[in-house]
Amino acid sequence: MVRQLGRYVLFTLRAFGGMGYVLRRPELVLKQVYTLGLLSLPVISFASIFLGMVTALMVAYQLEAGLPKFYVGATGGRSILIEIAPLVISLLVVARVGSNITARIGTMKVTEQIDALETMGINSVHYLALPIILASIVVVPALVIYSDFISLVAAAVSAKVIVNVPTSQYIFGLKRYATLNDVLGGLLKTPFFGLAMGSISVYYGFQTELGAEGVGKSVTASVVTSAALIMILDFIVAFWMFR
Amino acid sequence: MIKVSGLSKCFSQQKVLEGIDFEAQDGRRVFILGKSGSGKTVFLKCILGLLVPDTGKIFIDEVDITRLMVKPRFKRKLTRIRQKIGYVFQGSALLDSLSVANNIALALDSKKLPWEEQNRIIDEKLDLVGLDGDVRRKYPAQLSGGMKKLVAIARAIAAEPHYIFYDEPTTGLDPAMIARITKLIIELSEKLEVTSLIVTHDMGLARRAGQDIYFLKNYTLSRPRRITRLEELYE
Repeated sequence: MVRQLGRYVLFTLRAFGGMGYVLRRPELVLKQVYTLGLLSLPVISFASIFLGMVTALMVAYQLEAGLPKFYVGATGGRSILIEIAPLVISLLVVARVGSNITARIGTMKVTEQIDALETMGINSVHYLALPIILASIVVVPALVIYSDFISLVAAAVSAKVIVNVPTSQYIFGLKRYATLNDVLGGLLKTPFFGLAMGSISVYYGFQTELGAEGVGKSVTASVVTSAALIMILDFIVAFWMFR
Repeated sequence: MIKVSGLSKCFSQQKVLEGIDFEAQDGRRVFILGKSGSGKTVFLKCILGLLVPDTGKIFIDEVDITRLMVKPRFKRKLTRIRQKIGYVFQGSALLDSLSVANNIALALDSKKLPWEEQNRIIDEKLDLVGLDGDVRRKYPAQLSGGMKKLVAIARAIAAEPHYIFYDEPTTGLDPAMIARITKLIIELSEKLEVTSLIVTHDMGLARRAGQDIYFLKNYTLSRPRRITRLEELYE
């Protein structure tokens, strides 16, 4: 476990050593931003709509004791901004993108495509890993901001249509109680989630051995490790900002 | 010239190569024959520095690359040596996400050439291996096994290497494509004046194109006296 962690840290540092190479080839990062980010928009939109709707319903259910209706906006909106959208969307990105990255690089490893890069004098870690890590650091926060917006709108609509909370009350609650600290508390952790997801996914891809079975094992290890690390980071940020 | 002395390699407890001495003179077509699993690919990968040998020395153009493999600070020197070698992988190893043209352009990455110049080289190398320009926009998944192999050869020669390594160049191909690849190996070695190192179990290929032939058996290399007696070495 300690050896694995050491290898992972060294691998990530080695990847960042290729910053000069990637800066001379920004198209490598832009291509990954398109693949990891833009192509994730449909699934993120779908998930965000349902996240917002279910959050509004759950808060309304807990307000049955007779608390004012604007609490749906105050509590639901804050929960979405601080915790629900950043965590759920990051985990969704791990499932959709992280597994894809590990499988793609793992397949390249077992079919000798990575060896081919090395024989041509191209540092495979700089060429393949760093653009993905940098794109993940940018893409995860961007997807969370997008999800925040969609989820808040979906929550407002579902509050109005399903539990009869006027939109003006919802917006009042949100504006009155959601602070900049809430928004930042939700967003500041997302680049770290992106870094964790990107670096772990490429690391396990590069560690792949033994054909298709090895690719499967790497994907499982990558998804489980990324998800666990994201939850640990989430707790650390929550403890630091909201204690 | 490539010179290897006392090369040994084990994986865990499994011995693969032991005490190998080998020399490939400039401009020759050197074949290494052996059964599947005899360690031919491991031998090639050791020469390239993709695998670090346990013992022994490997010299490429009189540079001891075993010394360069073990220390990260020599990585650039090792990269410069590798750029003298074009490698044709057994499974072609073309990058799936790139078109044929971009796969070949990768080999020119370190030269930092303008795109027009790269294009000219890509067309020239595709022409040299007998592929027409239409193939350049295709992706590896759209090519047959034989065409992939030809593109892999075009990629291997793109950076004008001094050496070309072929790992099982005819495996899994139909007879017509085998004949085409055999002819190409001979033509390229003569036209480009490169040293070719070919590992294969294809006796016919060795007989038609081989100049120096080695046999890898029982972890070590030997030189048969006559090509006509190659089959006996499998027994």
